[in-house]
Amino acid sequence: MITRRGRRSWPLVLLALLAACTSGGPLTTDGSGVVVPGGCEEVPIATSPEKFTLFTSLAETFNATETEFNGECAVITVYRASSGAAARMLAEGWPEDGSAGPLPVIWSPAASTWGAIVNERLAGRGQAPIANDFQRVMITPLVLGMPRPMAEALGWPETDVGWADVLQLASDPEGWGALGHPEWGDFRLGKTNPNFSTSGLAATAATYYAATGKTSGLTGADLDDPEVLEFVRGVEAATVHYGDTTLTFLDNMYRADQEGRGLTYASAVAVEEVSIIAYNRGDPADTGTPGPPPRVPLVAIYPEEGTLFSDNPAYILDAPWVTEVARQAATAFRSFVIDDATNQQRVLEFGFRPGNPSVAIGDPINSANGLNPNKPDTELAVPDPEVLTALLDSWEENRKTARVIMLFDVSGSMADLAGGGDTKLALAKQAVLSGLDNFKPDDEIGLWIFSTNLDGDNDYIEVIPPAPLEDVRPQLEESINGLVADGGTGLYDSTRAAVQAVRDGFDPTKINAVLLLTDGMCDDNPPGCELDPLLGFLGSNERDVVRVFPVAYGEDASIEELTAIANASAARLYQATNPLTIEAVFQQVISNF
Amino acid sequence: MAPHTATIFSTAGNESSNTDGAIVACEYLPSLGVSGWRAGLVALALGGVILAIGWVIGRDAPTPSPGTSVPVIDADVTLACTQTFSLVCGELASRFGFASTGYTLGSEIASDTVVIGFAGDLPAEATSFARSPIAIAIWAEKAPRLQQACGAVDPACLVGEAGTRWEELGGSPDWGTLRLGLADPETGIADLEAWKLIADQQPGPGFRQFVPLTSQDGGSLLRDLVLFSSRADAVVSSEVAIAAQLANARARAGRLDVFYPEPTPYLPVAALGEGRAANSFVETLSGPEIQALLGSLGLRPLTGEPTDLLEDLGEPGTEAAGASQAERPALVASWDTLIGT
Repeated sequence: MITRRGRRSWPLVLLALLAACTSGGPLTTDGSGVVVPGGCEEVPIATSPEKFTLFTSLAETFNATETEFNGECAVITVYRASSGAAARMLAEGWPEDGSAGPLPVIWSPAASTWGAIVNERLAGRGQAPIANDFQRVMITPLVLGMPRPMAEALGWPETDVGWADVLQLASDPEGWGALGHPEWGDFRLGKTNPNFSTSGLAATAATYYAATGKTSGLTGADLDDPEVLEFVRGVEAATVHYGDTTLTFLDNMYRADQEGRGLTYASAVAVEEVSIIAYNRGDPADTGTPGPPPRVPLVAIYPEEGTLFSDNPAYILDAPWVTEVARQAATAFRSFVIDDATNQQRVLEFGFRPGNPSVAIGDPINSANGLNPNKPDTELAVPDPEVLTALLDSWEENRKTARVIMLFDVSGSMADLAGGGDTKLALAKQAVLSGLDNFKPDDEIGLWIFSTNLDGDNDYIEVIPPAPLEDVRPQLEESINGLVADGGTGLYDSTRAAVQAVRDGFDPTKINAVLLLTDGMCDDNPPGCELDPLLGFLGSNERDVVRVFPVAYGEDASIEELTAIANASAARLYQATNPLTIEAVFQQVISNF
Repeated sequence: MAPHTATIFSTAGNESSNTDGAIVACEYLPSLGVSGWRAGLVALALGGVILAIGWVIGRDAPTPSPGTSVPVIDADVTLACTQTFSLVCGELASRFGFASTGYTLGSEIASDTVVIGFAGDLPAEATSFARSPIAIAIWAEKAPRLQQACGAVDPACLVGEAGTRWEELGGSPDWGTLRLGLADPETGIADLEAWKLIADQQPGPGFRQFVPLTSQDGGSLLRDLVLFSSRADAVVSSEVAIAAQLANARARAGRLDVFYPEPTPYLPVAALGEGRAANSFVETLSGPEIQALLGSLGLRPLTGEPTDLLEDLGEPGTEAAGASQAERPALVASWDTLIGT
């Protein structure tokens, strides 16, 4: 075991803090609220959200005992950065406006696949790799989280279940009826977008592996194999919708469970093992404040074809902004987290398997939580970086197609200035136009706008009905560019009408949804702004659900009402309270399709 | 930089006193032709000097583990090891009250630091004090199946059966196919020798897909094997790297069985110190007391048999010649071709 001699440097911290306070020196605050004394070098960690609380707590302990490196003061700070987003920023340039926190010295995505992707993307630009030096903080396998009765119907725990079973059930016209449970409807899979989510990336790779029968050595040729693609399309067809985080699925599943409809939302969700623990203790979003335990708990299916691990690496980046002092501090902190068995026990408390092999796997990873610490039997090899990037391209072409109406608020308030001299409408237009790149050519996209009385008594107009993007893109761009703001916010009847239009043309082979962007609250004439009838309407069809993904834009949008709309259709609310963030938020919304 | 401190060795755990200096002097003076009362006076004087020096510089000597008889160095020494030698560094540091830290091959050695590694990976002035053969580690429940199929668990068997379904080898269908773990031979001498044993069996072009576990060095390879126990069934690496993870494997995933290719290369293990205290410790490593500890560290003495060898380690066979300098580029090239990084 590697050990480290700690230094007690409280006096140094206090002195530095005092000096900063008395001299009026700069004080910066990190994502966790830690104050960096003036004169100290900040050593930022950008971590995937599930490790934020753990890292924050460990950094607090570390900073209290060790701040001097090579004779200089350095303090560890912690910032949240989702793995996919951080990977993109590291490859394409970290935002200089501070919106993503400072440039990280330690980067801890959920899996080292992201490091490989960053290096591959940098290589594509002729740049040197920066994600080289890593050690694993903790690990957790990707599993299929399944309501226990459904898992049992598939033969769990005696029988191994895998992706082939998912495909078989998903493609059976009888759905769960084929296993004697017609009341559960079709087999529905919750699977996140692999461009954003580690679980989604692992699940997608696992699907391709399952299609080939391989457990390692996935090749570019495999990705072009028609039989492989047919398998992949079959699994993707069962997807409820995609999205940037598994929390959306777990939240919706938990809400349905609490309403006594636990088996209606999704039959399985591709999540990390750790998420099952959080769900079963009544805290699907892992907030630390659990609600009642679910009526129907989830169990972990370790796919029999094999699975991948999220290995939660801590990279010390080989980047020009990493100073020698920062590197020393980062190395010491990483050792503190990984080599210290006490700290690795804390990792277990959070539901992860320790990254230090000398720490045994124990509670809460046990059968009482629907888990098996001795699984998986087979681990899939992480595909080579060039195969991974090709896999993402292949998935884009073969994922479930979307059929979406973009319902766009053009009320008068959208003409308000949003910062930087642009109006809210101008920024939203730009976000939508950029967002079109994230749809695939055969996604069917429509455009509706709403304010008040745009078409007689109707508060909405169908500008372009849903049609393949490749056919209507020029018209969409022209229409979006030509939008002007005027009138009130006829939010509810416009939402209802858009959902009804999608329902009328419902296509079960597609993700049917409404993307609602609004900056205000409903201010239509009575009874146009009664929320309950709309919510009842949205939740009235459990089989052919049209999901409404609202974007609360600006400070005046009603988070409460829009959350209710999202929940009623088992979707998710996105917030762009600061209009300048609308473009990034819009990309997250589109990740659902 | 920490000031260098003169080093005094004592035999801790019994008399535990620097008066040992006088005893040593009494024992050795007769051989120098001094005897009788003169020898006694000289011995007393020498003992006094040593006592005085010891008092000045030995005030906060670290306390060794009780019940052991090991030399003590009164200075801040840090032991630096790659992952492969983590058990060696950890155990020695614990016994001596030293700090231990990780080490990257080729990096600068800090002052008052002793780096322990394979002699072939360290500068020529490093002092060899032990050796380690290349071995095969395989999950215990799978070993008998492979042994039955091949007659012996050796590189020929691993290469020949890689990719074979365990079911066909008499194992469980849940085990999938036989898959291996190997470390990059460009990084270190042990990994090069391990790869040579495999490469000599001339694996085919599709071999890569049966080697899902690759790491930059043997120590990391074994650590990953324990962390991701279903990623690979067997690895080829140095015995000392395997030894470092045997206990972890038991606690975490199951027992590892160790086999030895016949013949197999033995790699000298060496130490290099920076600073007086560190160099003194390097000399101590070749002394009888530490030599007696080698088996418990997963190492073997340069000559003779180890005592107190770790459970699960076995008896390697004859010594094979290692890869020559001329062979090395071709071996690295064959890795790049067949496995890649």
